Amino acid sequence: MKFQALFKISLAGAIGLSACLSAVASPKISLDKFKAMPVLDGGRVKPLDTYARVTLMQLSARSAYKGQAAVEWLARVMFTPKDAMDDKVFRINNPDVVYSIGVEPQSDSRYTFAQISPAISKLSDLADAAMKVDEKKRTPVESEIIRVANNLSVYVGISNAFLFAIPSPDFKVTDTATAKALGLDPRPQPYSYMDIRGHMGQMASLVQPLMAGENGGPGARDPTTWSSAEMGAYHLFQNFTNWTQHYRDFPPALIPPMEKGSEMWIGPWSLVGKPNMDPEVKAAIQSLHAMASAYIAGQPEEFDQAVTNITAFTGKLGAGLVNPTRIKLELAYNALDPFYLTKILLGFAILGALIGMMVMRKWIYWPTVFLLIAAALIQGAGLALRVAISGRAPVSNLFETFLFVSWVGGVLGLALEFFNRKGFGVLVGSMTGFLVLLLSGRYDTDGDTIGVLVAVLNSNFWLSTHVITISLGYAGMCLAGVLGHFYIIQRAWNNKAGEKLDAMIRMTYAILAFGLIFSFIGTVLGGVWADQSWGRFWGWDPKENGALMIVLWGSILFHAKVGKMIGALGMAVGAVLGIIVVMMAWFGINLLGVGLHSYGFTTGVATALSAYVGGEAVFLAAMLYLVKRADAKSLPT
Amino acid sequence: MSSPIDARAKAWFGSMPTLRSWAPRLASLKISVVCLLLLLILTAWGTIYQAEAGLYAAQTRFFFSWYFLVGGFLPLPGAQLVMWVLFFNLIASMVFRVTYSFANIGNILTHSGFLFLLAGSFVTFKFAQESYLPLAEKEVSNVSLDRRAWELAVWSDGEGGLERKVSAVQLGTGQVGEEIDFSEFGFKAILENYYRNCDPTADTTGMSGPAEMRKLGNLVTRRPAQDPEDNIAGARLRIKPAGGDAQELLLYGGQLEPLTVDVQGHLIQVTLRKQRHPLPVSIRLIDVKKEEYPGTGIARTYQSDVEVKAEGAMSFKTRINMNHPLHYKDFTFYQSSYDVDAQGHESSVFAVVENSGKLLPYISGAMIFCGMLFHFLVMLFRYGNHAGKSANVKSPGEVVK
Repeated sequence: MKFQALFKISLAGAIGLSACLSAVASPKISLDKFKAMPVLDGGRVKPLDTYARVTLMQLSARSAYKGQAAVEWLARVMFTPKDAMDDKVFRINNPDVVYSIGVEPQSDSRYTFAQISPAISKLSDLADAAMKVDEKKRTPVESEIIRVANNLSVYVGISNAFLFAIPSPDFKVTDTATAKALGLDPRPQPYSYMDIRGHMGQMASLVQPLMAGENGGPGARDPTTWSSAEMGAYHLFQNFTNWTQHYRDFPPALIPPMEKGSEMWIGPWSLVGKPNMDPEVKAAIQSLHAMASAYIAGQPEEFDQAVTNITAFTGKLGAGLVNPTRIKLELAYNALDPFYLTKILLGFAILGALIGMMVMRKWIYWPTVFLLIAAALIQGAGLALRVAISGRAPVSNLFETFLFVSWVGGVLGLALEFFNRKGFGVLVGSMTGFLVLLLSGRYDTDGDTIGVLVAVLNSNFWLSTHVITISLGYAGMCLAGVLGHFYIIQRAWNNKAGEKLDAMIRMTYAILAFGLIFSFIGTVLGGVWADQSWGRFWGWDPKENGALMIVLWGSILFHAKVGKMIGALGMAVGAVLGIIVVMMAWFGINLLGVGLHSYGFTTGVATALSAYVGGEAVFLAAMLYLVKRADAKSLPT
Repeated sequence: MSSPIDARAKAWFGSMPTLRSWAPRLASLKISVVCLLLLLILTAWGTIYQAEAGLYAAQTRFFFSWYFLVGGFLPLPGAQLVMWVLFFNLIASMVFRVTYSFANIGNILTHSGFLFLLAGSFVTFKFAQESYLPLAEKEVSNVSLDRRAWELAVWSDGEGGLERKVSAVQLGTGQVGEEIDFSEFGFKAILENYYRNCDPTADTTGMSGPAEMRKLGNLVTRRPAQDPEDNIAGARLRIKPAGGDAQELLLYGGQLEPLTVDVQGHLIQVTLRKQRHPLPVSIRLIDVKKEEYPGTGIARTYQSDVEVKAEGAMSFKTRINMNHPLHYKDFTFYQSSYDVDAQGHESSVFAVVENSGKLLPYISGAMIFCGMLFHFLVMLFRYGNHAGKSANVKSPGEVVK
């Protein structure tokens, strides 16, 4: 991608934006129908609501803007871009980038379009230079520059999407003679591109005689002899032609393919630019115009009617390409926000379990169990919705594996509670689920989390077998690690609680065995998949090695235990260290940036991972010291 | 009183005191744990090493080696040595340590499966052959190309160019100075120099050009690539026709056309190329297709329609695509990559693997899975029993003080 070239267009748009009109103070427009409009983005058809969330998340790492739903922000950017210019939506993670492009640093690392737009030229130069560096060798600053430039181009594209319907000073007709010649009313308020296009016939008949000799050919008329109507028409025509040349192919791709066999959707501008339009297309363009105009004018009924007309048009065109049920399900998924709800429930479950254990009250036990059950059900429903929307197993990217592992952590906690009703299962299950769900937030900002899959991963069978089993293994190892933490803390706190300690270590042992079995099965199934896809069962690829390390670590612990090389404490410490092995295998490996599995690269995770490992080392050292001290105290003197 | 391990050792090696004393020690769980720990360290180290040095270097240094030197002087065991020790440790454990009872079936099955896995890995490591088959649309071939080995190939075109007899010898640095017999073509060749990786000088870039160009050019040694697959070999040969004058030939692996040599009036073609491996079938690429998700550059699928013909058998058409390879006897053909040239001609590259032990990982995997599952269920049953007894003492939800 050439950012310089890209921004040539964008810059034109940016200039256009500053001149656009704001929305009038108006009754609230309902976006319920608007957000259900299908759009092709990132290789799949999704509701505009998801498109808005993904875009806002990509730009600002938030799925809402100042309490407004993402779709409301999107509508403002599309229909009243001038109003959105001061929205702080551009997150710049690296201060060096801010410094490089010469923008005033902001404490919250978020910037408005108005703040960044003067730096567009500088940014595009830097981005073009960064693009020339091999992706694996780019510095964090270079990667961030490219990300910001890309986000900026997305934003400008969206804000240009409906410029044709937005009145612009480029199409101001105040001169009475010009207005009369074109069949327009002379007025101080500007017209829109579409308004002028409706009078192209009159404009062409006025301008063509003037243009005949513009390049020195015969028939040229000296401009000093032009009438005011001709002069006005000529300027309008020039602006109109410039717009026609500059504005095209902007997202969002709302219009399904019009050619048979094609899968390419087009944006509103591309539809407007279609030659030889049939009446249906003309009507659709009018509806697009009407939709933007109604939004700007604050006319809810007209807006809804226009959206309905466009949806009918795209529904007819996109028959077979759009699955209305999936669109509805995705809207329901967005509205439910199941994983946010789960996070809250799990948080309360942790609180309940901790209170239960500390104050030893029976009354809090069952509510806490029900909180975890509710969390597991809602999270399960969320995962089921993702399956229904994507049509594949809910483990196709790192983000989804976090959701799945978190859910399994909760369910395993409930299973433990079933066998040993003392509150440990609920505590460790909700804690595992909650912590893993928190981790997922880091990957939420990468874009569409129900995105398309690269060819080699595009296999429902292997996703449903290999990735699910390996994720079950991750979940088991993580849960065992959390249990290990509690065992060590309990041992340091009160090493005389024999029954409690015994129950904890037996749970750790069982869950570790569960993790080992599924890690092993997952690893073998991964080998089978690799055999099917790449022609070898095992190739020492980093991701394969990561899975092997989990299996080896689990096996070491069990053999060391059977051989009496470690006791209960050693097993618990091993389980704690198992979390680090899992993290390395799960997402640490991606930091290496090598191997056939090198999809879903993650940046900025290394620091967090190192901090975690360091923190865990400090925890273990401190706890083992305390355990040793407690053990020494309890020895008979 | 002697332990069960000692008793078994006595039963096996009653009259051999040394073996009787040492063999059971090989079954030590400490050896198992140390080996597993070493494997873990080697795996982690090799994985990190890959980021710097590439997969091939990591495999060679850590995973396929008996030992490797750290800092050029400190020898550490490689994964191959560790796995062999683990293999014998496991056999010894199966003989001397493992209790053969119903409750222990899971354990026995798991460890037997692991033995199979190690054996299968060895079979694959030693005998599996990986090569590739590049085909343009409408092209047909019954040989695949080695990824790293080079061969000196000599042939003369038969009458009418319909049939060609090819003689090929694998080349390597070990053969420098050796005489290679091509007497069926009327000459012997002496390998004067072999370049593992080289660049042609300007004069030899047009190697399909006039004959004298061959004598003027030269090859410049390059540093071997991290992965030998990326090397382009070269060779300097002296050709001695029976009863004729010797002549020098310079061969570069990057040449597209063979060199034509006049051996006593017969025109012989000579080339240095990636080693060819015969396939049991000929494969014709009918059509190759790459589909992308609309509006993105992300590939949805690659697929190749091919016609497969084995000697003396009916030909059949099939489709090879991602995750759906073609299996034929011990051979498997995978969709590896796709290319389209500037003229829009599409081509496909298939990875070809010949592995007679390809089922072993599947069998061992199934054995280990069943074993682990059985073992886990037994453990769960015991855990449930234990937990149940505890639950009888305390009512549900009651927290133990």
